[in-house]
Amino acid sequence: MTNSPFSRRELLAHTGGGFAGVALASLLADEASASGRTQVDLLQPLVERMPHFAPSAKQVIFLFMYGGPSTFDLFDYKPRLMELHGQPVPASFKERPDKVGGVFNHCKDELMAGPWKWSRHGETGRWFSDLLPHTAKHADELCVVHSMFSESSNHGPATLLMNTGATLGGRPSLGSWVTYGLGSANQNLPGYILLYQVGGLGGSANWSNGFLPAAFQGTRFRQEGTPVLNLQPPPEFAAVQRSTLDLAQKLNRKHADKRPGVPDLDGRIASYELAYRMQSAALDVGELSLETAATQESYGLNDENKDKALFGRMCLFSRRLIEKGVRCVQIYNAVDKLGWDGHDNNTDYNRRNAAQTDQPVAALLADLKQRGLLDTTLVIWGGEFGRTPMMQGNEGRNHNPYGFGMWMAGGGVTAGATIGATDDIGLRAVEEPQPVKNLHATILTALGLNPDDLYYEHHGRQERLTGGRGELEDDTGSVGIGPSRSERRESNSDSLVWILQGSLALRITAFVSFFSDPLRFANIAVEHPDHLRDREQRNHHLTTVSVRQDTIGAIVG
Amino acid sequence: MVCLAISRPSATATGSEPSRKRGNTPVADSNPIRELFQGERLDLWSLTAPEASVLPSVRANDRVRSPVDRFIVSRLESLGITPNSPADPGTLIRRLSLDLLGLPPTADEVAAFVKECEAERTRRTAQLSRGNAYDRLVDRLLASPRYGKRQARLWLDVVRYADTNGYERDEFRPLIWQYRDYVIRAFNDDKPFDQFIREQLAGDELVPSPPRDSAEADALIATGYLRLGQWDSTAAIFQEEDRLRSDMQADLVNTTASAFLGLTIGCCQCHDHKYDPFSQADHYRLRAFFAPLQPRDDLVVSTEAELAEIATHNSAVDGEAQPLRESLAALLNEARDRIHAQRQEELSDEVRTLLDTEPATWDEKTKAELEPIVARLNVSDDDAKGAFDEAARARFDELTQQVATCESKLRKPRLACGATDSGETAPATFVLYQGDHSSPREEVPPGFVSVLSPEPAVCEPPREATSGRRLALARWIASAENPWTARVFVNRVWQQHFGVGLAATANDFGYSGSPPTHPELLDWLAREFVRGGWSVKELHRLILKSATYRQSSRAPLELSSTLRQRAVEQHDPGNSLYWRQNVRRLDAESLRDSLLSVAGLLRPYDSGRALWPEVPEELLHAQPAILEAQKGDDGGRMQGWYTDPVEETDVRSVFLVRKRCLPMPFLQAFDLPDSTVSCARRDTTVVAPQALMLLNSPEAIRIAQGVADRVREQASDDPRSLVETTFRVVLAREPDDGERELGLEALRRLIETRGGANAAAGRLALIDLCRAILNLNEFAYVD
Repeated sequence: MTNSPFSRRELLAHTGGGFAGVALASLLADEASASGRTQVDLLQPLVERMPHFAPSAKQVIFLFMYGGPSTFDLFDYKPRLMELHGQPVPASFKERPDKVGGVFNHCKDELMAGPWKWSRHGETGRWFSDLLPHTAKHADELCVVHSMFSESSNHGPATLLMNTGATLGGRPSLGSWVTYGLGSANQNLPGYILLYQVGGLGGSANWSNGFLPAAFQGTRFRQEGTPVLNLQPPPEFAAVQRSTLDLAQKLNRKHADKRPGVPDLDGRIASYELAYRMQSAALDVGELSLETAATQESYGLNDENKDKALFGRMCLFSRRLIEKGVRCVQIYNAVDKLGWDGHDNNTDYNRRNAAQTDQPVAALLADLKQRGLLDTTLVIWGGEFGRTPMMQGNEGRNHNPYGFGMWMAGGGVTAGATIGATDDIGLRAVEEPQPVKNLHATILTALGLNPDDLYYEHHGRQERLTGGRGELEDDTGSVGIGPSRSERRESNSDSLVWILQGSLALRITAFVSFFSDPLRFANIAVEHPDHLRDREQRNHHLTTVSVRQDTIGAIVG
Repeated sequence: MVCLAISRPSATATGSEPSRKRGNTPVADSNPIRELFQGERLDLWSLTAPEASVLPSVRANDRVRSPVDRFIVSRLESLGITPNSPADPGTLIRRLSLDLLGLPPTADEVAAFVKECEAERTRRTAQLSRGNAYDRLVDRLLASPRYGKRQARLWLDVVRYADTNGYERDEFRPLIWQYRDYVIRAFNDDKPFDQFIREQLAGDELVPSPPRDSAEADALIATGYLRLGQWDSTAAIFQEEDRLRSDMQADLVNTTASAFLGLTIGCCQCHDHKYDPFSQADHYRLRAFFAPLQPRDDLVVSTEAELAEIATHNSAVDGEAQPLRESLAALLNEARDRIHAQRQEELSDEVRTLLDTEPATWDEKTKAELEPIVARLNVSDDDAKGAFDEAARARFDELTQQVATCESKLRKPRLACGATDSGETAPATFVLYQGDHSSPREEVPPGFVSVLSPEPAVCEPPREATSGRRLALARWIASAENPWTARVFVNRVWQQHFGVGLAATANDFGYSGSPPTHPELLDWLAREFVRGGWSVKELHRLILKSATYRQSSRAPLELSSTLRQRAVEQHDPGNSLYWRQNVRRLDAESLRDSLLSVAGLLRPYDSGRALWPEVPEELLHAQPAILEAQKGDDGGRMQGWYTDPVEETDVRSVFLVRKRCLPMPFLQAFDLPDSTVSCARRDTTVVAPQALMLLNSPEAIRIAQGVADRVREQASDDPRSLVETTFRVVLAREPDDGERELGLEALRRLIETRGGANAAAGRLALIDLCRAILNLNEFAYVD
């Protein structure tokens, strides 16, 4: 079966590619496959590396909506749910068994619509509830995905999945993969920066470098006070910092001169100079008071809602970091453990979180756009899962991994596009269900990284953010929603995935703008060194040794 | 056939356990997996058991101090490279101390060793017969209890040790530290490594419970290994137990394969291995060994004797408490009877008569009337207490207090976090299609890696109520015939002493890993290791006594100025053939421990619960689960951070709590690995945040102050003495003239900047000087 009303060909035409797009896509794919492994100099791990192909985005801001927002209360308009308010869930929605925990457990058999007023916005006529009046002004900038699904209905694993591509901790996060692949444009600041008052459940596992070198782990910047922990020495040592450092460096130089051929020693000397420069660079970038009163006002910095002012500070800070060339910024919206997690009285949660985030997010989009940064900065908005249309407890909503919305803006995404849909009550993604790895693949693609070619060898495997090579295109909707992996394969369906729809559009945009505006990509060299090494060739050769599908049979008998 | 070679009984089998059980012999012919894979895949170097190596001959016999050197030197000679000369004694003692203890030597230890070596040079022959200063040093270090703490840290990386559950709540595991201490003891006692393996995988199947002695208790504690993976306590709330069980079993299989066998069996969760001759079914055959595993947080590890002692003690305590309890009961009964009588009085005759009838005969109405009355006649303790007069109340409180005091003397058996076995009721194991726990396919029996042993494993229950599955696996892994086990471990120890293993990928002995640079040496070491009864300390000696280990790490100053240098440049600029030692940075824990040590702050702590260092409050606030705990909302699950007083946490880093969601920032900055997967080798990145940490952090400042205090104690006020003493305390050596001048000049300038020659300026300037010296590459690297 197929979930899409379009065939692959129709879809490509729909997204502006057509046959030319197909040809171009394969051309780009060839180019990408010629690029080899990512080569990291551990002494300058953040030095900029070339993408696999011309990117449409150079930087990323991920606005993580912690707790799981009920997106059908925000921008996924469900008139049928309003009609069915207060009624039991129609039997047709209960027919499908759910693999990830039962979505009806812990919920009443009663549908609940929010008390929101809905209206259409922009030329696209996109629906928004009155919770998001500011974001609604950017209706035409957004590319909304209504049909995300997750593999866990549990905050911890689902948050890990959204950040690292796996429900089990220990893998590198999206930001780590991106800085590993591309380095960063500013060598005086970390390449992957987090802003939060309260971070995600699971803590550092969500911004961990996993098995990648530690230089790619997320660094938290504080939105108030000194941005980085230990950035400055205690006051009584500040004035002599340079003299202290000079002595160490002179002695280090003498030491290193006696030990030629040990680059680490020189690298460490360089790292101390970088640290010294970082002391001022990080201080400068955190100086939000340098912004005009109007800018500060637009982000809500002076708002009497302290939580909104706090989130506004993080949004404004993120723009300053992007301006300085930082590759990847992630903001967690929560101010306490609750976030959007409205098990009771979900309406209050919606009001509180929307009030806190709506204006700053809209200000960020406007600010980036006005400074010409939105074209090359991919902004992503979304949480770890959605919520049930069924009532839980006292007008609450339970976790729902089966269908929820996210949106992207800038960075070459097709402005105004809408992808997928949930069913009539917002319970499950039914059109073009998108696993998290498709989102990850799209982000990488926007950044000019081929998800299959961005890998790291660990424990004998080529590890990727998005799973095994080639898994993306024949392998969606595997868990919980839609046909199972095996059903798909057996039915030999044309499983059209978002990576084709979204990313091809992205690549084409990028390619076109490369010719129309080559200067924009002037810092990206076009040619790729041939990184293929002996071992890889050998591995490649080995994969041609046929692997029989009946090895299990051979053992089991 | 290769297969025959593997099944050949080895003459080198040793150890207290029979190395192989009947029935678990590989089948030499008609192995369907070998037939399927055929060809290239079966040529994998690590698939055949280590072969007896002929010691290579070398021309420069003076370069040979141990057989290890023959393998290294002969290879170098063939390329025209002569190895480096030995490092000087000062360098050697520092290298050895950091490699074996994770701590630098003191200036006095260095001086004594240097003196001993010099004396030896003058009386060379006499000393040789009695063992030399270097060998004595190695022996002394290996005998130090500090050795186990360092060696354990390395193993804990391999088994991904942590003190918490991970995931959303990341609860503390209050008992798991006993496993960490077990590992320390095992290395300090030089427990044979094969036994170490068997205990971790199947200690509960090896010994009875309760254990008869402390050795058996250790075998039970060792099963903590089976519990080290992450555990998601919230899975049940969302009916995700199946996913969790599958994740955990996969994690355990993958870790076991990586840690003991150097195999990347994780690939086979979803499909046949891409390069190595392993089938998808292999992963699930290994899973089946763990299918009957029962996680336990109440493993009794008190010995029989201790339990008997506890029982005797407790019954004595009970004997003491019993009369008190009886007096208490009497007091209550007396009051209760009184109230009961009163309440009886209040009843009407009619009700009293009714109450005497059989309750079964009561109709609904009567029942409704009588039940509250019956309940009221049943006088509660609280009602009874309420009726006490003053004297009775005082007596009651006194007795209650006495009983509590008495009962507080009751002792409980010692418990550990480990595992046992469900016995014969092992759930079936299925191959999972694409690794998806909801798509089971063929059922598989427990079985070893099928390319060696395609038949199901024979698992003989050693006792009732245990399946013997893990014991069978443990014995197969810890056998001399297993081609991977000994090689993988000797390679790890080589990596410890050279920074990189003979095979550079310590957890991957497959095709995508790096083949060994010196396969014959690896085999020789593996066989010697087994021949020596799997003694880890002997293995260290084999390597450390070599001239190869003792070489200087210096590269020639100008390449291509001599014949030798040209050869180096041409054949091995990266030193993969060991013509010199490698310069290595200290790992995170060694760096912190060394800093505390030179600052005189390191406290003795040899065993016990995990200690919680101070971390910035804002990091705690940033973690939702910790926040919840701080508000007391975690239902006693111990999700929080329980900071110990700062001076108590100045202990070896191996004893600091390893919380999965919040690695200690100081250690994390220096490439602490993630504790969710087996770490084969630490990364060494060089990044600016490390410099900020060592220059500016409160820890670094406190350490600099500690060093300055020590310098003040040992030096005069003369700047020259201050500079020299700082070098001696931190680097355990005297500065040379140039260094002394730089130090003096800096000290002068620092005092000036700080407002001239007054006591406060001098005090702070000395701390500045210490900060500079503590940040030197010389301190952070082993030469």
